[in-house]
Amino acid sequence: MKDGENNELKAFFKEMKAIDKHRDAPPFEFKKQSKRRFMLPAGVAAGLLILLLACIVFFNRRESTYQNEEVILVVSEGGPFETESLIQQQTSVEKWESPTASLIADF
Amino acid sequence: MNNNRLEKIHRGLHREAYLWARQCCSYDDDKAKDVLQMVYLKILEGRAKYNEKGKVRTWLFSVIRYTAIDLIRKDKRHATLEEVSEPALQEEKSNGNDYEKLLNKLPYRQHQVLLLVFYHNLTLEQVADVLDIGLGTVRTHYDRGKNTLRKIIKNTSDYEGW
Repeated sequence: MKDGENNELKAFFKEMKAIDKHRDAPPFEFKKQSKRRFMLPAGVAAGLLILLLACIVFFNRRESTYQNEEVILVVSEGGPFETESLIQQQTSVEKWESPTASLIADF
Repeated sequence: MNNNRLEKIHRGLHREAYLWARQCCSYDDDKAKDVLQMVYLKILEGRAKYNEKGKVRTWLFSVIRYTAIDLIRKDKRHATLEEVSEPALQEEKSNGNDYEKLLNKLPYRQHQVLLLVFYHNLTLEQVADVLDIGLGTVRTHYDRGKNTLRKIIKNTSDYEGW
């Protein structure tokens, strides 16, 4: 195709370029995004998390101390691998029954 | 190539790179800015490397084109660039001026070949590099594109007195 036949198209694109001359390009920013921007919120979040964990640990320890004071378990060694509780259930006096009560015949 | 030299080269090409990015994004300014920023980031992080074989400008145009395609495909409002080649759809989606609206009536490949040749003054060989297609294919799109655009201009001038 002869070059003269392209004149119409060349004129078309020339006018298009003329319009684009007035178009502003964005500022040239040839740099990586700064990581500092993300460091501050990340630091705050990490701090809060540490504080939360510290609170949880502190309150758990307090709770377990109280439990230790209230519950006393006494165990004795019955052998190298055995322990036996010394707390034995005593028969209540109110519930006592004579072993010969069954011999009394109520006529 | 160190960062200072890279920066100097890209500073010189910045305006043209922006215009090409805009043309790759159906003349959408905001998308073009995003694309350009993504391209610079790719270059700085070494995800896009210039192998010093061809011209830097040709390579940069190629990176911009691929990045624009990726961005548009991610955008749910658009399908793919190939599908956007339908003239009626393109006219609706066009953001540009009258020239840009007319160009958007061209099929995608013809549109890009004509822009690279007539607007950015690239040779057909360079266009083949940018579009990553064979020289013969570029020639076909070039000839068809010219004919189609002539018809579009003629039809528009008949109706609108261009």
